[in-house]
This record gives sequence, structure tokens and C-alpha cells, in this order.
Amino acid sequence: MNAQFKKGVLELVVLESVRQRDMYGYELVEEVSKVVDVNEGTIYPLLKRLTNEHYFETYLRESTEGPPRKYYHLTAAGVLYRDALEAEWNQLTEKVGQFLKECRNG
Amino acid sequence: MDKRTFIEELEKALSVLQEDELKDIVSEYEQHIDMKVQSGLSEEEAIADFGSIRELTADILEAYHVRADYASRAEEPHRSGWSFGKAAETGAEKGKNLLHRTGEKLLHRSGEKNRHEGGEKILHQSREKLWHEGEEALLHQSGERVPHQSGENLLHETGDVCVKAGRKTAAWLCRAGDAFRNFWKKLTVQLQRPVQWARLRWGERQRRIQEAKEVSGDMEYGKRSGVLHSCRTAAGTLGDVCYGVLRFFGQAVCWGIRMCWNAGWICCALVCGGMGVFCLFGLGMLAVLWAQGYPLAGVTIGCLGLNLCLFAAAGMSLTFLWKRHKKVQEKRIPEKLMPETVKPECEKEVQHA
Repeated sequence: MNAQFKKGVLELVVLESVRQRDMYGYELVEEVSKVVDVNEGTIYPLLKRLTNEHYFETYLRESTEGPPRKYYHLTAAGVLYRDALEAEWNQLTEKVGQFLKECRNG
Repeated sequence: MDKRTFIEELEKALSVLQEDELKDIVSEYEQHIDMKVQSGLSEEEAIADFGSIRELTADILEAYHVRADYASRAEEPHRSGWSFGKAAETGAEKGKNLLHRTGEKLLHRSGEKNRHEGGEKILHQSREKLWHEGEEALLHQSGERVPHQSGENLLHETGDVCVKAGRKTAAWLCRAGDAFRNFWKKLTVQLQRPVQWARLRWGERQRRIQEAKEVSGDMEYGKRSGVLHSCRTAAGTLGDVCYGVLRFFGQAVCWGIRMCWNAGWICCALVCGGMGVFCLFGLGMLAVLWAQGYPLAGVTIGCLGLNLCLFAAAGMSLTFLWKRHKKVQEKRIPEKLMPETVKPECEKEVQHA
């Protein structure tokens, strides 16, 4: 898949994944990789950026398998941002699909 | 590339960030690599999945709105103030160590006594002076301003000042509260004094009249005549009227002050209670939103605290109401119920009268 497509939709996929339930970094990378095949290194900077922009908030939770894990939680601002992204995505896919359909039909 | 090398490269590229942020980022990547290794991959394979470390650090720095080439620019030698500072820091450190060694030798030659008394002090002072002078000169040369104190010392001193100020304020408030309480007690006593005095005079006057009636008999008392007696009677009546008027005005003033005081505190209680009810409504709304998943836990708890404060303030306002003390009516004990020990004393009084 085109790298630019993946990069554009990655943010929406990450936001939606965390909206379902709070996740830690590795778990989120695994979940997103099922949907979009991206470089794992690009997800952590994205998480950091979304946290700095207050769309995520983080907390530590003790783990039996090692050191405490940092979990990401979607804030109210993150919910609104995610809804806006989804609306834009739907609008874009609808318009692009309609355009391609028109072009195909002549 | 193994894990250690990757982490070192990452730390070097992200050195521009604050230590806390850097530790946070590094710990996340370390945890990710460890989990990958646990799932069966090698460290090299896990790190390879991250891609180019250059692009990775560029993306991370972009999240903090920092230029990706900041670290590489900082490594340029010769012309930057940062490199001057680094070189000067190294030189000053060497000078400090040399001074320390010299001082140690001198102190050793002069004996242990001098070491404990003044050697350490002189060494410490000279070392600190040299360090600060060197730092000041170099930073001034590179164009940066030198703070008089480090940020940490400033914060400590500010904290100490705040604590002292808080304690002084609390002590002053306690003294002010005690002074106000004493003043209020004295004021109430002063205000009630004329009323009590008038009441006492009225009661005494009535008692004397009653005694005179009992002693001389009603008939005798009614038969007395003469100018003197009339004047005395008129004066007594006038005095009684004056006492009555004074008593009335005193009571009226007390009543007015009491009403104003109570009205003020009742208004305060109503305002606090009304605001508390309004906040209770807000608390309910916040609780519903919190239950729906919005992150409003902090705001809800804050609203609950505000509610409790307002209701407590309303309750406290009601405790300040000035209540009128009810008179304790003296009950005359019937003779039948009077104890035996009291009866002979009463009989003696009657005989004496």
C-alpha cells in the first residue's frame, strides 16, 4: 500500500484503537499493525505527538510481567478530534469514490 | 545494531529534550524491544522493525516542535558558545581538582587540627569562588546572562519565605480573632449594662414599695398625707417613668442590633445555601457525563467539595445567630414542699420583721 495513504490514516486508526480501550505502547503497535502495515517506529512518535497535544493522557499501571507499563487514554479533546477525523475520512472516501465512479462511467 | 547501541544513539539524538521526557521515551522503546525479544525475535530484528533511527528521532523531535537537525548543529565546533562553555567547563574542572590537591597537601603538612578548623573551609571557598568566576566569565563571553543563584537555591529560599509568611499570617489571624472576640464580649456587656441597671432599680423600687406596704399595712400607707409625701410620690413616679423609658430604649437598641446581626447572617446562610443547591445541580450533570465516559472525575470531585463547603458555610452562618436568653422565672416553693431545714429560718425572718 502507498506509504502516504498509510501515514494519513494511521492517526485515525490509533485514536480509534485507544477509544475502544486503554492500551500500552506495544499492545497498540500490535493492534494497529493488524490494520495498517507501518513501520513500528513511526507509531511511538505519533503517540508522543498526540500526548503533547493533549489528545491522550498517560498513566502507569503495574504489570506482573515486568516494569510498570504506560497506558494511553483518550481525553475528551481526543474524542472530538477523532470524530472530526472520521467525518473527514468519510467525506474524502465518498468524494474520491464518487469521482472515480464518474470517471469510470465516462 | 544491538539494544544498547540503539538506546545510546537515541539518547544522543534526543539530547536536546528534557531529561524526564528523554527517560520516558527511552523506557518505552526498551520495553518494546524486551517484549519483542520475549516473543521470539532477536534484539537486532526488533530494532530493525523501527526503521531508520534518523527518521525516528526526526519524527520524535517534530512532536516537540524541535528542528530535526538541532543536535547535528550543536556538534559544530569552534564557533558556538555551547562548545566554548564545554571547553571552559573542562578547564575549570581541572583547575578545581588541582586546587583541591594542593589544598589537601598543605592541610596534610599543617596537621589534622588545621584541617578540621579552617583548611576545609578555605578549600571549599576558594574552589567555589574559582568555579563561579570561571563560569561567569565564560558565559558572559558567550553572551549569556549569569544568574546570581542557581534555580534550585532560589526555589528553596522562596519556599522558606512562603512558609514563614504563612506562619506569621496564621499567628496574626489567631490574635485578631481573639481580639475581636474579647471586644465583642465587652461590647455586649456594655450594651446590656444600662438595661440591667434599669431593671435592677425597677425591681428594687418595687420591692421597697411592697415591703413598706407589708410593714405599715395597706390602710396606714393609704392614710398618710402631706406635701413631703406627695413630692416623694411624684418624684418616685417620675423616676419610674424615666427608668421605664430608658429601659425601653435600651431594649429597643439591643433588639435592633440583634435583628440586623441575625438578618445579615441569615442572608449569608441563604446565599450559601442557594449556591450550594445550584452546585448540586451541576454536580449531578457532571456525574452523568462522567458515567458516560467523559474524563470529568477531577471536576466532579471538585464540584462535590465545593458543595460541601457551601453547605458547611450556610450551617456555620446559622450558628452565629444572636439568640435571646430566656428569663429563668423564680418559682415559689409552696410551704408544704419546703424542706424541714429551711422552715425554722423562714420563721425567724418573719419574727424579726
